[in-house]
Amino acid sequence: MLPSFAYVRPTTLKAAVAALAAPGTRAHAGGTDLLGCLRDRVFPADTLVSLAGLPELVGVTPTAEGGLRLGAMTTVATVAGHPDIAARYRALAEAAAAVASPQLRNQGTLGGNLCQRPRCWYFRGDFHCARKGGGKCFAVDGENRYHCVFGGETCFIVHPSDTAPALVALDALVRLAGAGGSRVVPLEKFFVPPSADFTRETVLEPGEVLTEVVVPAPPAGARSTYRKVRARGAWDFALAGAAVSLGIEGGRVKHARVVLSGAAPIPWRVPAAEQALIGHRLDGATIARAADAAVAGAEPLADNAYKVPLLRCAVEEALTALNS
Amino acid sequence: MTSHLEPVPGPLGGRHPRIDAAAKVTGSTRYVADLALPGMLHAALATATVASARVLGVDTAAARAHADVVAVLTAADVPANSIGVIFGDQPLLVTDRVRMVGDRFALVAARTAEAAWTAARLVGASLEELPGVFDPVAAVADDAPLVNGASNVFRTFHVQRGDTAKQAKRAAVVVEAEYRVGGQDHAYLEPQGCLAIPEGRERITIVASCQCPFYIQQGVASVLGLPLAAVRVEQAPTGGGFGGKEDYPTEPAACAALLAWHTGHPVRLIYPRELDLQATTKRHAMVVRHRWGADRAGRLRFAEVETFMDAGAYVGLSTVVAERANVSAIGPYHVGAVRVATHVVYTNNLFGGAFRGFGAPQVTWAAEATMDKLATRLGMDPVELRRVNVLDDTRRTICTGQRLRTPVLAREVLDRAVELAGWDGFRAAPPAADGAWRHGMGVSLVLYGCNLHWGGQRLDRSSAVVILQADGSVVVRVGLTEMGQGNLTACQTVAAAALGVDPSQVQVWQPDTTTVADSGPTVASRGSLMSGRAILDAVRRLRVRLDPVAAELLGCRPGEVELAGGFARVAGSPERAVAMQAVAKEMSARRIETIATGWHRTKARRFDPATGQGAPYEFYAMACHVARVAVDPGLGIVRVEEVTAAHDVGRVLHRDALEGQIHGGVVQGMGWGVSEELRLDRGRLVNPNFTDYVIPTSADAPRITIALVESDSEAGPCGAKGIGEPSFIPTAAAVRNAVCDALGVEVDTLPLTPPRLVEALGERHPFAWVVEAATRPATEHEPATVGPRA
Repeated sequence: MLPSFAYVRPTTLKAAVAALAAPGTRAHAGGTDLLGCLRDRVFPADTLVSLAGLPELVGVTPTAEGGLRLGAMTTVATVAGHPDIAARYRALAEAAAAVASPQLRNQGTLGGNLCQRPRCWYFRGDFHCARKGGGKCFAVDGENRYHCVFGGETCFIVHPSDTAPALVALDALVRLAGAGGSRVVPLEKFFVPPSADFTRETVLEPGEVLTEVVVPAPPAGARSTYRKVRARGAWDFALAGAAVSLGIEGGRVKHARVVLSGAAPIPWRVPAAEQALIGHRLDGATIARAADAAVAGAEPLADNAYKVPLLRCAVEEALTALNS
Repeated sequence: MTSHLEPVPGPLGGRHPRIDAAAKVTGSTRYVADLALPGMLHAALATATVASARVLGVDTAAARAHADVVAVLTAADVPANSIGVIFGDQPLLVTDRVRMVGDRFALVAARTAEAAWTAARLVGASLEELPGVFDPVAAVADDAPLVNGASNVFRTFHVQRGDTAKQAKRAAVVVEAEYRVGGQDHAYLEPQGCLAIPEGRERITIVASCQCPFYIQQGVASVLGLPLAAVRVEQAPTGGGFGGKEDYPTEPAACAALLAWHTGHPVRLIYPRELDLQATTKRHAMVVRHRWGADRAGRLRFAEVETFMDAGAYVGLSTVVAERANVSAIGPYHVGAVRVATHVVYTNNLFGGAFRGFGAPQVTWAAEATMDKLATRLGMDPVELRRVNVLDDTRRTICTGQRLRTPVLAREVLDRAVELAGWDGFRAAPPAADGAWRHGMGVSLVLYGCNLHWGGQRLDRSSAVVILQADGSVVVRVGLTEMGQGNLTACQTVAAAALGVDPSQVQVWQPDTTTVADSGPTVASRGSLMSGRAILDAVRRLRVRLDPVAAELLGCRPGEVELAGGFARVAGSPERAVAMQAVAKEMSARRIETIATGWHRTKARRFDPATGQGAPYEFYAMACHVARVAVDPGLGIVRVEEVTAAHDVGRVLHRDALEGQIHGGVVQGMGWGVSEELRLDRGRLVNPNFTDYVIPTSADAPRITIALVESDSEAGPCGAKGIGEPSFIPTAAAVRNAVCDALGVEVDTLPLTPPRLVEALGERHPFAWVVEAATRPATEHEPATVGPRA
């Protein structure tokens, strides 16, 4: 049952940031994850600060440097259907289209998709796990079918977002607004792995709001894609997935980003796979080498080793798709 | 206006609008959560989150002190603290032992639902955790912790026919296998809910989302110590049941009734979805062991089946489920010798209960997997092997020794499904791989006994009331329920056909235990059959009074009156007719009784439970599904592209409702076979929500092609047979066989999720070597304890 909370809807970013500085507040964007978390008592909130009164956080506009600025309150559906995104940042368009269901894409926002809380049935369920301040990770010796195979260490969540791995592959930056102004952080550095701090998933400080995502101009010969593996035809989180962004010039890969989803507590960038691509023709042998490198060092739990071949297959399928 | 001389097609087999469709689609149907009464309180349950413990004490002080709380009850407040539907092995509220997650410590009534559920969390139970057992095979071991009583094997059911050892000598190939066929949640749209309305301490009304108002009546009367006549149960419009509202709703009803009894207020109890998933009955998980053999020609010589049924902590309906499982265990095949043993086993898992198919789907899945394995070993086409063994009019004795009534249509449904699905063409030239996708086709048959098993014969009767109104319209009451399956519409169709009126003239109302006699449960695909036969009986009795009046108006003898097209008319002279309205008006004017009751009971049968020999069911329905799938072996993804469903239905009552049942059965069966998985951590469900418990969406539904094999049978009203369960049972098995065909591996566990298929492929997965090469083994992980363990 959804607990009671106060609801405020500031009309300036400054007021929103000020409201969010108070303890017990949470930013409310689309609410598709937040309200479920409150209902399931994953965390409490006394006051929800709606961002819906800030029209400047909505929309997709070109930047002076040839990239795109995407307001954090832009819906996932808008991102999925935007012609410029489809044409120049295909991985992002594909990832946004693979999110949840049409209803949730219409309601959910890009910023919210990046800031959603992790998938783990112990974290989401009525278990007092380490991430919620309890003493242990229940997944280690419990039901860990869908938990991470990279970067777990103390907490074996998987990052739930589809847009995040795509945006990391596209070298996106995020702007975080706070009381003292704003700062810009590479999206890759926005996410906090459990090894650094298992009580948080992002670098957002209390009173900070993610206001926009900026994707830089694509590299020369750019092509990108996102491959999501899921059991159900709609409304299902990634079992495994791969976002790949390449720049190919003169028949050779000059720029490469390989980012796994459904694999780790954060979008899992694999530099070794990128190195296996750079400088080579994108042929079958190169793809196989990169796909092998993408899963090297995986650390499966008792019940999720299947993710390793699945991830390898997803990387190979994504790279093969870019080869046509 | 239609002339009475024009031929009027009767409603049977038609597609007139379903009685409840418009209200449900437009949202005007009022479900129990929509009902509120002045002074009504809200109930909540305090439940266990561990599966096995000794209860040292229950502290309700904090819950009682919470704002807006009116009452908190524990076991000491229950007049008769036992709720098991057949056996008394389950308390309504626990006293000394917790046996499963979801066991109730206390009931709370409060002025708001928020207060009630918040207070329920404040109930403190002091527990000493005990070892539990979470696997039905492990539970049978001598040293397994005891769950409930002196043995974890509650009972074993047998079928013994012929000498399997002797027949085994004639087998050229033998398949031995162990299948693990998991549980399933009903995933009805509307969670459990009820409203209890006390009238002093004399009597009480329960309005409930349920399949079986008479079960609730008995359960509430027993818990409160009231006569049956003092408990009235009205079925609320019910948003799906699938068996999940057969036995289980008695529990919430007894909880709400108890709180209403103590507080004197109406009390409403609506389950949150998480609790509904966690605490209610499930399809039984089963471990099915097979040893089957066939001779070189493919003839089945013997079949040995041993099944361990995970009953969970309470027996509930498990014994009856086992009885049905036994009859379906070898399918509609002729087998030289049969030995079946099904053990009903206690564990500390969630408890099993009724679910569409009732034990038959699990054993059918196993039987059809073994048939495919035999075909592979014999080098035969799977359909050809089935043709060699399938029952038909010339060979119609099932494993219980019962000779079936003709026509026996197992061969016909097989032939129709196979032809429609294009089996031969597919086998001759399977489609080439389409990118990563590989294609496969699989087949499954089912032998389904309609109505209740011999063991439930005493319940197998049904009551109806038909009232002819003064304007010629008709009220029908029956004792069996509508839960979305179409029973109201089926009853309307039967009554309209029997009275010769348009279906729009007939209103069938939801059951209420004060309007009809105990009709047993709405289960076992018996709703239309049993209600319909009772309606026909009621109409027959009504006509004893109606026909003489009509005859007088028509100037003929009562024996010459026939009812058709909205008229009473003279048989053989349709021009001599009088409108039913006129007949009704005349009966009313003369103060002739226009209400009639009807009754139907199934034929008594002989059966020997020791050997499983005899006539467990009155009649049978056959079905065959063929599934065509595409599988991505690298990613383990299954796409069910088409299911062809051929069903032996007798005669069609209402075509839309029938097809709807088949569509629903196929999709639900596919979900069970492919994606739905109850993940239990020491008896606790870790995925009690529809994000993590993956039911199919419309994006996953296959194309469904239906073939109805009709025949005249003496089965149900107007020749109908049940469809609710046979539509579900074969799908998952057909999908399994199709996936195995596509991949060239044998998968002996469901559901066929990507993880399971990758694991089943093992070394044959395109990147199997990656697991070894890329990873360090899981055993190197230390449990990640950070700080003191909670």
